[in-house]
Amino acid sequence: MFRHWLGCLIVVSSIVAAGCQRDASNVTALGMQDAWVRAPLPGRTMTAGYVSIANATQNERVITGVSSAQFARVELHETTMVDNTMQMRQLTQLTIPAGATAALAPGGMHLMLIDARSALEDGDSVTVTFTVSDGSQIDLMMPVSKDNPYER
Amino acid sequence: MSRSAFTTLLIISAFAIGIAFGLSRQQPAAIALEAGTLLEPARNLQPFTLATAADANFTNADLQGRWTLVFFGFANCPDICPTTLQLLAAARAQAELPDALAPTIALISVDPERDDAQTLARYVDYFGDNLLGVTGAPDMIEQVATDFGVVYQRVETGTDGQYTMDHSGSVLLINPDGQLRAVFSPPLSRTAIAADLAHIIG
Repeated sequence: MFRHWLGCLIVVSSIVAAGCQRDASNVTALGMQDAWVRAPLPGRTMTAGYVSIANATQNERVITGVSSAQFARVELHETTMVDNTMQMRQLTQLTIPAGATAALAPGGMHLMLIDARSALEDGDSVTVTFTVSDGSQIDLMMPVSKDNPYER
Repeated sequence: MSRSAFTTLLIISAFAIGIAFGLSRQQPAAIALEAGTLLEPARNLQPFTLATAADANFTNADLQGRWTLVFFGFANCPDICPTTLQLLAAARAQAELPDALAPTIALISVDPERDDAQTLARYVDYFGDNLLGVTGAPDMIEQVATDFGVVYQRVETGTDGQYTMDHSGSVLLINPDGQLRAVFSPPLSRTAIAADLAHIIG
């Protein structure tokens, strides 16, 4: 219930932010769902953010940049397993084919939020701006949570 | 087939069955695990001296008398380390072991140059009770990691001295004799680890 409600809220906020394209035949907004930012651990100013980005458009979309006024820098990263070893690498951009969903989730792709400008706790929120290849920008409000709020 | 050949075959078969039965009786039935690999017999660990916030002289002796789940990671790791520690804490709870048998979760730093014992203690305490942050001299960490079959590597991420650490995602289970008893390899599953902990410890 909570999950559904939060997911809807986020989608609405992202569409509003993207300019709320009212022409349904030409959907340009990317659908953002299950967004959350891990509350920074004690003594840490860096943390990770997660979101599923659905591209319901007829065209490939590329996330070319991510930023937040609440952090010095935001990067796209991916944790991968190579020969049983966890590796974390920066992605320069994120390509989402038409009709596909990119899942940024723990242990995989994620937003790396670097140098929080102020302390963040469970219950706070972070606004992240995604710059998309079609020239649009999406402001997404992401809840700060200690645990994954979408997990059973 | 002649009668004598048949008799010979029968005798050989009886021997084979007898030997197989004898072998199966000698060895305890292997514990079937969901996710982990059991070490049978458990393997002794080499002597080490590391440090926690409460104990500047954390040695093999400190692993005795309790079960311990060990994960190698580092504090400046925002994704996989918190995800793994959270998963281990949840698996431990799900195993529903008596408090005395519930394993301590130990994070051993592969980034000892940045992680002092106090930093790690604050980091792990966030995930609940009965967690330990362990660090030490870089060469000692390297020796312990090698003994545990864990590899790690520093990777520069920019020109400004920023770096990250690649590291094995395996989780190791140490028994109350301070011996390596089981290894869990990624991808880790909370439910499978909980079942295995209940099986091995319970």
